Amino acid sequence: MIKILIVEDEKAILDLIKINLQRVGYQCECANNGKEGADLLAENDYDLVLLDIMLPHINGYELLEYIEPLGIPVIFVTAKGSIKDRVKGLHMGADDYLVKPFSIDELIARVESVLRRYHKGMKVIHVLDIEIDTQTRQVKQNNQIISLTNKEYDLLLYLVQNRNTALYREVLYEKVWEEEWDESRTLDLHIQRLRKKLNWHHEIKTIFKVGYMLEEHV
Amino acid sequence: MFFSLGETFILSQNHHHLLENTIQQNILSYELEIYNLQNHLLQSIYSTSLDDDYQEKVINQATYYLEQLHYLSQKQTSYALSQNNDILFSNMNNEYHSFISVKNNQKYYLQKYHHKNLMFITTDIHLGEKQYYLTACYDISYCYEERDRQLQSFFITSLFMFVLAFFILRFVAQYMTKSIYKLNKMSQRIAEGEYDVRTHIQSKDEIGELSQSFDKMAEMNELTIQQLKESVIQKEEFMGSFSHEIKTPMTAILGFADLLRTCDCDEETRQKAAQYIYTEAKRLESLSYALMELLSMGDNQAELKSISLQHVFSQLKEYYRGKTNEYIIIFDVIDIHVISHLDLLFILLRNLIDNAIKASEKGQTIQVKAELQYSKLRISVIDEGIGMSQEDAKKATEAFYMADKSRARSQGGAGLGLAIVKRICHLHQTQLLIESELNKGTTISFELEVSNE
Repeated sequence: MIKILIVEDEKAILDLIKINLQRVGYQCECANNGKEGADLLAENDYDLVLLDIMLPHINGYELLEYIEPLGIPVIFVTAKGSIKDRVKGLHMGADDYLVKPFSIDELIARVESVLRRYHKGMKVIHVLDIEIDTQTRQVKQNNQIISLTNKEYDLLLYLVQNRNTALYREVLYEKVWEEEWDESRTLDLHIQRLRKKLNWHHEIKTIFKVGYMLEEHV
Repeated sequence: MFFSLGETFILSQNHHHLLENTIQQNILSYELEIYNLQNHLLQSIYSTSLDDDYQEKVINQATYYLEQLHYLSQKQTSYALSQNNDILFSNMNNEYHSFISVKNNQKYYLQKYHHKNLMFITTDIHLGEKQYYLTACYDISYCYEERDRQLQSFFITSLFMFVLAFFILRFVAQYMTKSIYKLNKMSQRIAEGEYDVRTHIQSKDEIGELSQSFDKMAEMNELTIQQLKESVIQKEEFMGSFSHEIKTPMTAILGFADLLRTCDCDEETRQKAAQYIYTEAKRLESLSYALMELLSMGDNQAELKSISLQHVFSQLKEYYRGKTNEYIIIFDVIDIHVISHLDLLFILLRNLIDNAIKASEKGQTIQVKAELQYSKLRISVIDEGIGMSQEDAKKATEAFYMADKSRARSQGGAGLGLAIVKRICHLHQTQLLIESELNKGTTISFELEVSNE
């Protein structure tokens, strides 16, 4: 399992990141300040560090210098969003830069992309009997390529990334189609198509009054 | 130039006079010689009989006489005796013979010949019935030589003067232009943003004055720009901190709300998310209130007048009644009027008391003291709380500075309280005094003008 260290002095942001990363299947550990972060880094191995810049005691830039020789990828999570700050952070060796306020999807996407770059991430995701190659956007079932439309692929990926969580119909539509929910049957139609193509009639569950959920029995 | 023109004119006048004098002198001496010669010849004629070689004798006599004269004048003057254009005798240079002419009788003329300036005079001499012509040639080259010499020395002196004047002028011009060049260079550098350059020209002329004014202007510019820069930096810092303060709760609220609306999470997560949304929204609320207060007293100068301190204290008592039963807040009883503003003084004291409450444990006492010190009233807010380190006390009035972030957050602080207090103190032209010791408590005080009403 991929282990991520979150160094952030704002409790709310820390919990927000932690809850969401755990939800999509990462293991998370937290530090409230730079010193705690350094201590944890010395004791454990991590695949990725999410780092705030304005931290008490040891700030993010200082901690980054400590992390760099360890070869662990770092994403800055900060309110300092000016071009100057971004360039400074990236120059110092951060792998990505996430500016507050950020959305959870953006956070997850960036975490994935950095992990992919380090060949640690889920370049190929195995779920149930299928494997998804996120780089070529190819889905295979029993070594047979399943042909999916773009929207079907996006929907499948979102379900897979948020597996075992019941997702609200409206929000699911909003996130995959990137437009506002218009009461149409588009989403239901795509779900039916996915069920049929993958033969996942039981795996993609309909949750009453909520929406859909991909269930993975581990 | 005029000087040299004048000089040339004087020189030519000189030459003219000299030439004239020389000519007059030559004519005079010529006449004298003619007279002498005639006398001489006449004598010799009378002493000899008029025979055939009378002419030969005369000529011999004349030749003798003229040779003598020629040698007397150190060969500067030479003569020729002629009769009807036939030259009978001459000690002249043969080349000059062409200038001898009867036509020039009773005349003199000047002739330049091979670098020599010559003056010829011809006069007729009557001896008996014979007529002779005597031509005298005077070498007057020295007049011209004198002029040339004078001109030459004049040119040399002029040249020397010119060279000297050139160098003096160049030096003066360079001195003048150097200052102007420097001024120009400095203006350019200032235009390029180097506000700390000065000309430092210390001369007593107009350029020195100009440079001093210029330096003064540059200094004022630098000062103003410095102030502008500082205020911009302050504003930038404020905006930076402000955006940080606003972005963090915003991220949390958006993130947790998104989580709640996206997935059907378990009860624990839902509760947690709702709690965060509430506390972070509260934080935004207190931040916006504090910011409004800060903005409202930004530029408009509040009018300070005589107000009753007791009135403000009772307002504060009312404000804290029921709100903070866990803390004991004691106000001094003092009947005095101070120069202040009701609302501003209320905000000021409320912020100080809020801070004191945040630093205190439940059950601890917070004192609001008012003591007369000379003509001023010192108001202090004293708590027995956690206190601050020296370093934190210094930074305490900076906007968004929080000594203990997580503690301040949990109490809904925005980090703007003391910045507001400082601004109000500034309006009252008083200093905020912070005395603090870790774990012993903090005393924050300021002075107000006492009103006589």
